[in-house]
Amino acid sequence: MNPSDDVVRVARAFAARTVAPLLQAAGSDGALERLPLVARDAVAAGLIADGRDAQAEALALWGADLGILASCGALVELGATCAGVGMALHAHALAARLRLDVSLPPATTTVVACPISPRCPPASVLDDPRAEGGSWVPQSYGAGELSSPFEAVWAFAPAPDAPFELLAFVRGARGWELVHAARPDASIETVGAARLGLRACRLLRVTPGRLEANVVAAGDLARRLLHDHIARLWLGMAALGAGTARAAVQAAAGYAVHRRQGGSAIARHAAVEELLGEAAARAASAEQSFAEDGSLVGAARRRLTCLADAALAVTQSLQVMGGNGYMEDYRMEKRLRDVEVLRTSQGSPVDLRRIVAASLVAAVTS
Amino acid sequence: VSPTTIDGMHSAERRLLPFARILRDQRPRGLWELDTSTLPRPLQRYRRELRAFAERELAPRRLRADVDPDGWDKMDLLRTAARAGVLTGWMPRPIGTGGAWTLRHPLLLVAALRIEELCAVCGGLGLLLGANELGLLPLLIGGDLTAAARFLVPAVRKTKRGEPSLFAFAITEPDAGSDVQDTQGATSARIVTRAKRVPGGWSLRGRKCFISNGDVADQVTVMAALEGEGLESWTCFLVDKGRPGFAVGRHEKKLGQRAAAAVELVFDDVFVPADRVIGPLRGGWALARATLDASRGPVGAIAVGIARSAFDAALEYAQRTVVAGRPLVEHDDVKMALADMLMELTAARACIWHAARFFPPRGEMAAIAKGFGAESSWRVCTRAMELMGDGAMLHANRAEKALRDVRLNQIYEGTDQITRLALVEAQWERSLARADARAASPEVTVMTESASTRLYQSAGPRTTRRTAAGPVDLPILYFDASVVNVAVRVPIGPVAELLSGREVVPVAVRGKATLVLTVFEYRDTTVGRYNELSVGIVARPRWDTRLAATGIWVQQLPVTTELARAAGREIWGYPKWVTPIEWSQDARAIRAGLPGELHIEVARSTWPAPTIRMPMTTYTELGGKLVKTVLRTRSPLHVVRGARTWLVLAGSGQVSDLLQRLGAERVRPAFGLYSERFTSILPEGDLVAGPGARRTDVGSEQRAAAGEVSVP
Repeated sequence: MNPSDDVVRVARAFAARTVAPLLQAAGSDGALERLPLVARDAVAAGLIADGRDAQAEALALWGADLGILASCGALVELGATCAGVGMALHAHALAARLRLDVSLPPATTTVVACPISPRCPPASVLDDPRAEGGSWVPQSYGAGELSSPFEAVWAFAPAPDAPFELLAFVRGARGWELVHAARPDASIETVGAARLGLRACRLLRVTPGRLEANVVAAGDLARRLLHDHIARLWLGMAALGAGTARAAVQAAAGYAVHRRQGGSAIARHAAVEELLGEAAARAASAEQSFAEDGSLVGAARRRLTCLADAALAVTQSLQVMGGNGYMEDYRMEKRLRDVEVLRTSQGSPVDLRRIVAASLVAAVTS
Repeated sequence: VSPTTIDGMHSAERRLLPFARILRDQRPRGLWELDTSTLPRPLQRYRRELRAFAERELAPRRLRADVDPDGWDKMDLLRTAARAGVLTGWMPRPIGTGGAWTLRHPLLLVAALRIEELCAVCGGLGLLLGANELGLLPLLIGGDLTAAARFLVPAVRKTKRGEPSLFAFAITEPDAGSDVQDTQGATSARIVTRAKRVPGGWSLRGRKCFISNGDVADQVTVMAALEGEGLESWTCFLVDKGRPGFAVGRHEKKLGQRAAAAVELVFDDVFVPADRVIGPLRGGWALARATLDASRGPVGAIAVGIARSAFDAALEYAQRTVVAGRPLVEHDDVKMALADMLMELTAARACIWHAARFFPPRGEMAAIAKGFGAESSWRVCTRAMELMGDGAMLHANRAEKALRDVRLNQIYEGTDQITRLALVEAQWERSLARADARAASPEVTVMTESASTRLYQSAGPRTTRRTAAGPVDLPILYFDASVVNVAVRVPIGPVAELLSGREVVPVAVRGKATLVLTVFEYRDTTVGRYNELSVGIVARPRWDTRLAATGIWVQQLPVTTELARAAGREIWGYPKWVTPIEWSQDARAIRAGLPGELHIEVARSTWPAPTIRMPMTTYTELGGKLVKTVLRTRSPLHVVRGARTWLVLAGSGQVSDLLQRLGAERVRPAFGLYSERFTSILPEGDLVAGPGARRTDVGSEQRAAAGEVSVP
């Protein structure tokens, strides 16, 4: 069995064994207090690494030896059970990969502040923050002092209770810089559960300001790391959305078979068939969006269409279930909340369209 | 646009000729103000008052009520709204708080204005304050002014005193959601809430779910089927929450509109006095449909209000969030998104106001308003999410709340799919019914003259029965017909002799019996086109001396088509056979009869003739049992005095021989009736047994024997 199949299989088993029981608890989001145990089990399962085993690190999500398709496949499986838990593991794995790429020693929890929030800058700025309009990006001054033209960025992060370290992409004298802050506590604030979705994943508000930080990468390396990081982030979010959509369609189909109306199962009604057919096609399309293409533009394009399809599949599935779909008992409303966050955060569709368009224009111009 | 350019544009404006300047309204006004300015002045004032109330009372409560729907004091808000007159604005002063000038305008428009303003601050709180009107709608539109006065006036008075007395509407059941809002699905809906007749009233047993405001309502309008009957027996009951056996069950945990609870209501042999039946028995289906027709427009307005809150949240966020050195609102992509949202909102509101101006409410317009309002509002909310990016997911920024809230509007009061079906049914119900007729009798030419467009809708759920001549949908609908009728008084002796051994006896008036000869020309029905001649005797069941029990014993009933014959004989026991029946009419008279046997003629009135509306009850025997059938019609019949009516027996035959035997040959009709625009609904009959015996649905016995087919 190749590593790709293996990690997908492991993710499926992990979701069934560890994540699904969490959702049996009361409340739409399940037993959020047991999330630290989930992270520990994920390390044991090999989905994420804690930095103590180099081989495990290479084979974990977004590991150096694991292809894009494999990581996305695993995230699809996690998204099918709980996109919030999937996002936490995704964020953990992305940060671990970034630390590995710049040879930082392993740390339990690292937050990556990426200047794509609250809105993602245009492609020209992602390429070179000194380009016109580069004021989208936080700036570094001399001895590790950061400033930001906007209020704050939001970042998803794993492991709720661990001490944080911060990796932030900022604009420096040589273009992009990746800075590392070992004690960023004053700049990071946890956003509570009063938000739409992905509540199993910690959401942080990072306020660049006076912060002690070291530059760990700069110039072309930092730019490449930034592009790779954003591409992986977007692909992973798309994969979680695709998994969510798949589960939603399966749940809706199961409901439609058992729910009777007008003397027959609603699955036989034309209106429901139309909803289910559209949802199933969109969900399948979302799941087939992925390829071994780690480019920023490719990721933008895939995330844009994949999550649009996934969101439509979920809302159509909810519609199949009518009033029951709107209630927490069936957890379809959780899928709707999760997929909408996946669709609109960390680069909204508006931003993605502009990045895709810029790439097209650049290709035609050249 | 630079300030210089703007100055230049203003200069150009000033250079326009004075008349051209008059034609250009350049006053800076928001779209809300522009929309408001299109309303009559009382409604403009009303809209502004509601907006101020919502900002003052709802805005401070909205986030808390959403996060902790069980932990905030909703009664405090209800009392405040009651004192402010928000809950009683639908009732004019001095009983309610509605201004006379405001309520001169369509009530649904007033309701749409009110609910949009409330929901523009919070969808859940808006629903909390608005669901009361849904609950009392069956009372308002039930047509029973006495019931409305008895139940609504005290509740309004109490509410005005600051003690909210609210209503809720209970229709949905755990196993019957969309089923009971859709004509076709309703036939086989699994209804569990039943009403059983008990001394002094009814006993309700069953459950209702997803009932908005079921937790705070004092009274609930409950749709329940009668014991042993199907959905066609649906009847509306007004249930007081203090009655033993009534309980509020589980509170649903909803995605949005969380401030207003959706609860389960449990009825465990709840006694409902007979005077709390709203509308007629078995009239619940039509009442529920009418209620939904009236409420769907305001539900669209709820969606628009919520979408407006998403727009407001997005605009506010875009103004205060600085990205790349400029507020978001100055970015072109953000402007595009805001413009998209405004266009959707304005179009949806225009659609809803248009639909709300119809009185009485139109089902198709309500469906359009609700469907378009809900779907475009959903798009507005998703656009707001895109515009705000990461900021959208935070509860404090309100966009995610609007998204969660507005999703419900595509589901309740009929899902988007049900409203589409309702739209098509309401718009083309006659064509659909005609298609049924063509399928039943392809040789029949269906006429296109207009009949009652509401007939199909008011007929309620339909079933299909097999007959020897093919399937027949019940009830049979008569869209377009003419009828002529003469009444002849004959000696009672021969008539009594004819009925001896039957379960009915002739009704004697001054010692004589009354024969009724009626000829119908059915031009457009769900069993095709045909003619029918009825020889009836005014009679009553042998054991029932009440005037209300009087009906027509159908002695003979020739018809012109095989399907009509088979349906009549097999379903009701009508003594039908197939024979030619003539019908003609001109400016002077209506003539009908059996060729070579008898002739009926009624002269038209030369001046406006008096009209009467009368129920038509027939008695027949089926399988040795008496069957009573009440033909539902509201068509007025012109009354013609006897001197202008003729009955001529022209030869020998089955009908004329009978009439001669009964002594009708030598008698002039006492009076005649006619109508050229006759519509009616013929349901299945009831088996009528002797005193104390249980009423039984004929259909239930026959269905058991013959099997039932749902209307596809």
